[in-house]
Amino acid sequence: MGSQKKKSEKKKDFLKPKLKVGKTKPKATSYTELGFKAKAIGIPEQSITKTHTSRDKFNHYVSLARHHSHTTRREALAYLQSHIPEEVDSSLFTSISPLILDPTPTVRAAVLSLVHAIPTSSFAPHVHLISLYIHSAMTHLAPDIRADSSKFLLFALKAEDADIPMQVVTRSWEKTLHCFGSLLGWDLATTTGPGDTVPAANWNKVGNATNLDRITNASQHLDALSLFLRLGLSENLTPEMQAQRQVPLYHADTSKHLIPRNTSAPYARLNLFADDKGRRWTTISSTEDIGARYQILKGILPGILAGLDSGRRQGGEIGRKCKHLIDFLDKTKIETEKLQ
Amino acid sequence: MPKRRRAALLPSNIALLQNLIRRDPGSYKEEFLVQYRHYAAQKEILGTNPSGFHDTEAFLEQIGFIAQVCTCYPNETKEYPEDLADLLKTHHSVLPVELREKIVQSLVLLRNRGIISSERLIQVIFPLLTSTNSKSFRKDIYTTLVRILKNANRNTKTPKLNRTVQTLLFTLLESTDGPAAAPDGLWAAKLTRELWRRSIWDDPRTVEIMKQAALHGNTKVAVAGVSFFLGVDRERERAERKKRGLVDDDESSSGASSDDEKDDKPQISGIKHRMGINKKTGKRARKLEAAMRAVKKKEKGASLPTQLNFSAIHLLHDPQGFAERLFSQTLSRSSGNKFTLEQRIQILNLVSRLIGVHKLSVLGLYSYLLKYLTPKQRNVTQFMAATAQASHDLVPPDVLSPVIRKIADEFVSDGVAAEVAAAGLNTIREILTRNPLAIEADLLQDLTAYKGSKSKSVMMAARSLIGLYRDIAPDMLSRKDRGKIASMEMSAAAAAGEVKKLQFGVENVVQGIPGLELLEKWRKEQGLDKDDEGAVPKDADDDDDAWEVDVSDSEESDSGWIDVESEVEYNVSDEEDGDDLNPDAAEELSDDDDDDDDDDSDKEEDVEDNQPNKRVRTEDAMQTLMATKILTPADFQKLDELRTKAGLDKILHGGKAASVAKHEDTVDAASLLGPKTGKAGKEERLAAVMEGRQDRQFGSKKSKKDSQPHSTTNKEKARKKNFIMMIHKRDVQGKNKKSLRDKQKVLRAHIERQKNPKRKR
Repeated sequence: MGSQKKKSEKKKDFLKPKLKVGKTKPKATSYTELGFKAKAIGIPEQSITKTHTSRDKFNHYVSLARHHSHTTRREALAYLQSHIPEEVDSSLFTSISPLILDPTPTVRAAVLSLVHAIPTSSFAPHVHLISLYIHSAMTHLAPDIRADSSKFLLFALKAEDADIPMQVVTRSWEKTLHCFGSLLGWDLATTTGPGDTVPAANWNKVGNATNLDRITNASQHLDALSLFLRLGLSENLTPEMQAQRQVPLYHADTSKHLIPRNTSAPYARLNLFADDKGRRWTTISSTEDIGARYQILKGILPGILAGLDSGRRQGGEIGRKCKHLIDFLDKTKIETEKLQ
Repeated sequence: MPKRRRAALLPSNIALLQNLIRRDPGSYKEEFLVQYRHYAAQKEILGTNPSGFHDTEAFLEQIGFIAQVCTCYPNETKEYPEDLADLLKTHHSVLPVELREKIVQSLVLLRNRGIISSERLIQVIFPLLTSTNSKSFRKDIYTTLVRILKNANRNTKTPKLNRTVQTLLFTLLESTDGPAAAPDGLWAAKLTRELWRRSIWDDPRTVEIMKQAALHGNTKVAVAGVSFFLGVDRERERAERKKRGLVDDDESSSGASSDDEKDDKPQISGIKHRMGINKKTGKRARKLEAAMRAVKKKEKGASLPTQLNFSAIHLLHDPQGFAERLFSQTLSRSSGNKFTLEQRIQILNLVSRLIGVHKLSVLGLYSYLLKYLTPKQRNVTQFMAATAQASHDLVPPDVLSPVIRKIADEFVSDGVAAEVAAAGLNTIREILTRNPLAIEADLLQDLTAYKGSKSKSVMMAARSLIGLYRDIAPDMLSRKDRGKIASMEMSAAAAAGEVKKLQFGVENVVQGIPGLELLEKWRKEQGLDKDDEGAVPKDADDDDDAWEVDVSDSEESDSGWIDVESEVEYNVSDEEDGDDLNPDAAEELSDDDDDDDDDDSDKEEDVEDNQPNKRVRTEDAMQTLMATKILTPADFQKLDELRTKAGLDKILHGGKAASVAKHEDTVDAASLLGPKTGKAGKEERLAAVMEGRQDRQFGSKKSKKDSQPHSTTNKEKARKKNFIMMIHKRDVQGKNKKSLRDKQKVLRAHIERQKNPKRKR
């Protein structure tokens, strides 16, 4: 039986395959398929022995800052805080700044303390990124994240390096103000033209009537707001600018032909570099001088004043703070209008 | 203000907020604005580093939320759609997958809500189809596009949108014309094909797109275009049938799209069953009603008449130019060998089909084919089929005759296998049906000599060639091959003094209905025409009945006609025995095949004079009947019967009428090999068996049933019932009290079962 089978199999090898008309020729048994294409060749990792420097370890903890477990995150942050190197590179900031929005309060606290520990000199280039996250936190849905947001803002505004607060103020003036509006429950969205008064109905609106007491950390928010406004609106003219004001002009009309010095972006109105026109919250409008900042503030000032006024009437510490702020705003108003 | 109360309820998550906003948009405007600002902040963070964006989930929620509620705040969210479009446009390659999908979803949602137009949506997502690297995303976009177009064209066609998309596809094909840029053009072709398959697009513009694709510089795109023309009509038909529920899902149609057209026929029996078991509630009753309604609607849809759809090949503008360009660009030698043999065969198939359908003249093709028509050529049957398809009666015979000569030389000779010879003969026959002048009588007679071949397939092929020429031009056959009827016809024609010769370029035009005079005569005999004037109401009734053919009635009458027919045959044979052609019989056969030969009726006049009542002149019959009466289906049936009786059917079905109609038909390459003779080999049988098994499931019914989740059956319950509960029942006790006879019966049955457990009882 077995031999029969073997025999027939052997015989089969020498049989000539029958060719048929109109059919493709059958492939030879030794045919090799060559039609494949290799798109990439994978090479397994070459070396398994890696020396772990302290730098590597630091980087490892930087990556752990995005770990899903909040305790790990917190511990990673603690480690980072105790091992801050001389020069901090951007990877640290990109990984810790999202933690401003972290749902766990302890993690946020750890971030705050870490941020305090980082030398301000290395901090400056990343202010913009951090301020973006601060804005996000100020408008966050979770109340406790919102409540903590002004801590970070206060930190940024109080930084030793004077460049940092100025960056915050100049680069995101309008947006921060609007975020304060949502943080404190004030209705700033109804933009009013320069001459308009706020419609009477708005005074009674839900937002303006919000009791500041009910907002956690309201006094801290007010601190931040007041610091923000003071930084943004109080005149601290550079000596250069003062000199410029006092220079005797050679001709009465000379100033007309000079590039206006007291505005930062004199030709901004030409809108030369804008690709997305008229986006309210996405444009970084030039707010590098007080005049421009005041112009922006003017639009939402009635809303702020109304909110502050209702806060003042509550009395207490908050009331006092509100009152100071109102006084400051009034003073600025008078000064700025005199200046222009 | 009662709303104030609700406003005090502060939402803690986005879903809740969305719900609240839906109920009362006014009160929650500020909350919404906060969220919108949050979204803007997130978006800006995303903008700084799109690839390293971590907070995807929250952002997803935000996007979805705003898309859901943005109808409530149209002014505030004016820029939202454009924002999303920008995001997608600038960052689609680096965005996380879920985010990308969400953005597309939200855009679709916005379109459904009417915030952005379909055109805009397509303009946004269409470029991504070709620019993205992700396969899944591409598939997503593709299905989205198809769905948008399907929905837009659901009730009425929307020409504006269609034109926009078609223009996009056109530009896509045009801009990427070159061998390098394959995928873009392919997508255009794929999309168009899909839309055509679903009958969403069925206009000439669509066909033009595919024409463009077929002439594309890239081989893949060109092949996609070509296969569209070759296969899409069948595909569409199948899809249509499937949609109507006429065909089960057994045909595995080209995947991608059939998913959302799945048969979601409500299971009425299931619902009814549940109604019987569960508590009867109003809700369930309503469900059943709804299901019934749905089924009824579906059935109604199934019975709708199919709408008239032209095939893609028929809708072509300038088929001549297309065929010429296709031939010169892809097939002729100058184009180089870009295509593989299979692809070339496909293209050749299309070109030949175009030539056949539109009767084009692309003369270069025939000499091109010559090269391939040898038995050793791979897939030669395909080339032969293409040759047959490419021939029609307007091809000059001197162009076609070398082809036939070549086939005859290469395939039909003594040295070749029977299979090859059969294929050659069949191909020649197919060509000659379309263009009978392409062969000389000598060659034809040489070929017909194979009728005596030992191989059955060759013999049959040769016979079919003879049969063909008996109808068309019997004079070209040798005397022996002409057959009785054809010889009679010939001699009759000779007697009448006009010998018909096939001529190039003379079209065979049909005038009127063949055999109509028979009907007229029959009506006169029955006296039906007289009734027409007299009893109008009765006749009207009759007519109403006549529109529907009664099957049983016709069968009866069929049986009635058989006797008569046989009688006629006897008559003819009798007369033939005397070797003397009866002019009447000959006339009866000859005059009817050519209704266009009006002039010959004049010559027949004198013959008819002897029996004026026996025949009615063709022309008169046409005149009287067509002018006075509308033919009903019953009339046509009668006509069929009368024709059968008169022996006309052979001429009509196998003769010139067939050759005229045939130039549009496709030629199946497999059929050229002739019918399968002999036993199939084991492998073939096995293959056939396997093919049959493909969609079937094997295994016992029980295992199938058990594998599905089901409740305990009554049988199972009985089997598992506690013995103690049963012991005093009659079922058990009765066993003892059974009569001897009954006991024996049970025993016998048991023994039987033991012996033969599989047998059914």
